[in-house]
Amino acid sequence: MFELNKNKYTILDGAMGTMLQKSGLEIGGVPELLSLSNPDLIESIHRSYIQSGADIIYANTFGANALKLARCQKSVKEVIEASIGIAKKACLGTNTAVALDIGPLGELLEPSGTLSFERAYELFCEIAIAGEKSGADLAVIETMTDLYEVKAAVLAIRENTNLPVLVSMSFEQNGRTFTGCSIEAMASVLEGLGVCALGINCSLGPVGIYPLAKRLCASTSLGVFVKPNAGLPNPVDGTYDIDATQFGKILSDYHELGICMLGGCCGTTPEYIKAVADIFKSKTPKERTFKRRSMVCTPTRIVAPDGVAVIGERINPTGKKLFKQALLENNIDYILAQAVSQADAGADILDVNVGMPGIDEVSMLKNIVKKIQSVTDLPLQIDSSNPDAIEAALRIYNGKAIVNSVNGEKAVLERILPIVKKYGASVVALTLDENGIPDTAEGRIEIAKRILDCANSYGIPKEDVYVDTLTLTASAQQEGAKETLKALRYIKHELGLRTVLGVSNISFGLPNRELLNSSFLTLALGAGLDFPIINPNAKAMMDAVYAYRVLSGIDKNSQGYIERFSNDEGAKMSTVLSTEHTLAEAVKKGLVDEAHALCAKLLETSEPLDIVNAHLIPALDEVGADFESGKLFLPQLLSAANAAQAAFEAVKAKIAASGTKSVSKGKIVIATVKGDIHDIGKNIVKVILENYGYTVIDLGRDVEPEIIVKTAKDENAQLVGLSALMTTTLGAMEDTIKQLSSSYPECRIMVGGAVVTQDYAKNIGAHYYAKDAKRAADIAKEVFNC
Amino acid sequence: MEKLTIDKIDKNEALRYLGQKDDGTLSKNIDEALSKAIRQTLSVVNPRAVHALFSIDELKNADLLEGKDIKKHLKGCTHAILLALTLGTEIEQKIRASQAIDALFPVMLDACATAAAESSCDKYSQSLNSLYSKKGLFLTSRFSPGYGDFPIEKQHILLRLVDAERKIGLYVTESSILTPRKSITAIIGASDVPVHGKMAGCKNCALKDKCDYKNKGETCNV
Repeated sequence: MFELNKNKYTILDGAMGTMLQKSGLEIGGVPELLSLSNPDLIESIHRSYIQSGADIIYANTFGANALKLARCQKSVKEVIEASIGIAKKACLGTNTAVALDIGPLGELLEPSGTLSFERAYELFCEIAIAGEKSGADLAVIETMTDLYEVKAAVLAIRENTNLPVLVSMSFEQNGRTFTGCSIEAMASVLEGLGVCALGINCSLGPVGIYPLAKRLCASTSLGVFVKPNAGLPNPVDGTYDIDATQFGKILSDYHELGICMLGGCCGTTPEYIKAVADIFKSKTPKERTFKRRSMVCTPTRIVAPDGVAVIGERINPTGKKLFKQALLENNIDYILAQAVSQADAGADILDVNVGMPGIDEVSMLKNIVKKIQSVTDLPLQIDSSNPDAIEAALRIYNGKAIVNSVNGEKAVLERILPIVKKYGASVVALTLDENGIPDTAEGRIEIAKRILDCANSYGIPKEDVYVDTLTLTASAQQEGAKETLKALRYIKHELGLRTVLGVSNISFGLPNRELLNSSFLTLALGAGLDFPIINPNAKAMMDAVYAYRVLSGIDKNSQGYIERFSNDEGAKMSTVLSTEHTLAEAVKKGLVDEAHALCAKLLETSEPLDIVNAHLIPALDEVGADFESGKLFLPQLLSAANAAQAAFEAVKAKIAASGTKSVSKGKIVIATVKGDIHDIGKNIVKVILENYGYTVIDLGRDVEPEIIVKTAKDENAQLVGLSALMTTTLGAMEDTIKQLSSSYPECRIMVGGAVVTQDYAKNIGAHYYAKDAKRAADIAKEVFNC
Repeated sequence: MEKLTIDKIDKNEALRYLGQKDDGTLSKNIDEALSKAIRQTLSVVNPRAVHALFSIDELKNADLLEGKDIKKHLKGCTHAILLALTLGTEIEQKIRASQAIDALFPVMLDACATAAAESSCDKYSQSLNSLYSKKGLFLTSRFSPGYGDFPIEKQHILLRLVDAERKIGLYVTESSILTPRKSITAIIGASDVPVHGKMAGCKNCALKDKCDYKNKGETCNV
């Protein structure tokens, strides 16, 4: 087994693909198959790198995964066994180690692609297990551009083998990968996941990678390695512009950075590796100093509070009727809207809590975390007391998360901290234990110290422990506020830990809660609070944060503050209600705020259902008719839909508050079929149907027929709408209809999408063809007879 | 070739993708939303493109050229340039986020992104024209998988031939959908005598039975 020695330079090999091209590989061929068809060629390339001084060679397994090999009748196991076997044979009698080389799977992961994280994990498991069995000394994950895919690969290797893991990713000049991942995010997440060295390979030459390698060295305590291309390619003939001597010379500058391994990528040959080995074999890697920072991240966003980072608290069912109802009805869109509006309001991190009776928290938390990550790149705080739910969420979370929370209870610490460590998260430490919340600051500090020691014993560094000194209610325990702040100050300044605090408890039972909340927030920030947990949509609270950032000197030249308040007058103006229009007119003109306000006003005197039937639907009918006749177009239709939606929010809020039955006219399940990821059209249909008062269960895109059938049956939906945009996915539409017709024949089916026609719809057994959203609404009226 | 950038999106082009058929009557809120969508789209698209020149024989051997329409398009060409372009994943997140809170805006972003992809591709094609005209080659217009009877399933081969996954982060799903979604692939014929290519026409188009352009006696210019 390979063991990394950071005190000695390790030389890596150069390109395999370049060597194969030189030997006349057919264009577009699968290079891994050569391990079976031409093992001598592969062995000779390995040998030439070993002779040039490589201490590690990468076996010919870069693309040996089930997706890439699908079309060539060879199994992953077969190809990996042969490839590792050849590499080991080439290494006989030397000290050179063989790496199982793992490249990208070749399909984009969700949410932008269709490959699920779980499927990616399975594919990597197959590779990792075959690699270890075949005798690889280590595993190298390389040329990656998606940190989520890397996470799946690292987990697969760490959970199924004992192979040490090296990871290198490919960056553009701007220091981001194609999917936007930054170097710092890569380092933070992968160090947390327990890999043994980090690197940069491909995409750029040694000059381009240098500043990026410098950043990587500053971001990790792990060993760092590079495998640059031989310069930049010529766009016409594909040749690279740096020769072996130049390559070695430029790489010699990397010595200063404190890296410990080097090799080459595209365009490099044994000559290049020899040049590198000649320079570095006689040198000893420089020691690096690394200062660990407290930070959480997603691939594209880092939150490292040198000031204040706001954690949005709105995704939490406690005390919220509409939220509870949304969870029970699996109305994910409601929750996503909460996420986006908090992000727009300036939250830096979102707390996610979906725990309530009647909910399978493990699967719900996991699902919600995935969905939230598809609409925002803010880091998340996983908020649960259920260890299984925490683990399920951390596993599929893309980035470094915060776990909320542990406390001083031994059983809790022993159960949760190993999970925090395994997934490299940060953790909130509540200063309470089995005896409750200590009255005094000293008592809470004592617990904080205990939790910190325990976290350290699991290998969680102090930078990843955020202490919550707990806010008590001022009306009940007035002395409590002082103790909370006293403990906070000590923990921040004496223990040097980050602090987190939910503040709105302070004002329970007292009038003008907002004033107390924002005042207490300001005091807490002054005492050293890093992560206030607040409602970012509450203006006074965010105002206090912005003001604090000015007064503490974090907001340089008050830029953020000025930006926030320069448009304040305008914002106030728009909330003044114009009385010019009726509700129907406001909807037709697409006036969102006005429609909402007018509807709320009508609700004071009319029944919700009457408003829907007498005002909203006639207005929508009129807009629909004008759309059909070509007087209005899609933008006007959707603008009216937005206004109608806003009016409906007022109706729903009223109904939720009064506890009466909802106004739903019937349930409709809609989905874009398996294999298709176009959902713009389907989403338009959904909005229009909701406007008309139908309950729409949107299963999203790329949906398996079985899930559509099951949901339609379980929900007793009378109508199912299917969308397909491509000739290649019409088959999936047909298949879904077949399954629906045989196991749920009473349900009606409507279909639509760019390549679907009336005739085709009929041929595949659909009951209706909806050429657009207006027609879909007409069909619903027919099916539900209302 | 220098880095591909895009600094404007034609409003009328975006409106065309939105199905807006006259242009004088936009209400203020729609017009403002569209301007905002254009600004936001420009701030998140990151156009990247790659191309490679092949002989027609190489493309035949790689099993790329299938159907009558692509062969007509490449008539008289000795070579062809394969090109692939993507706007990246960030625009998609933007669209998904706006879907959570609005009905109109995500559709506008989608239309703006389509317009941005097309104009980036035009720009890239122009630079290919000047690059290869210096080498004495004449180029045809672009022809993409899915045009006429050129199967969309050929995306897989096309992407592999230009190494699009590694060079620009562009992938294709099993059902031949490009991901990231706002992406374009195309074949451009090349020859040392002037060539123009031949558009696919409507005969083999998957949309021929319900196409708005065709119904009005117009063409989508493919």
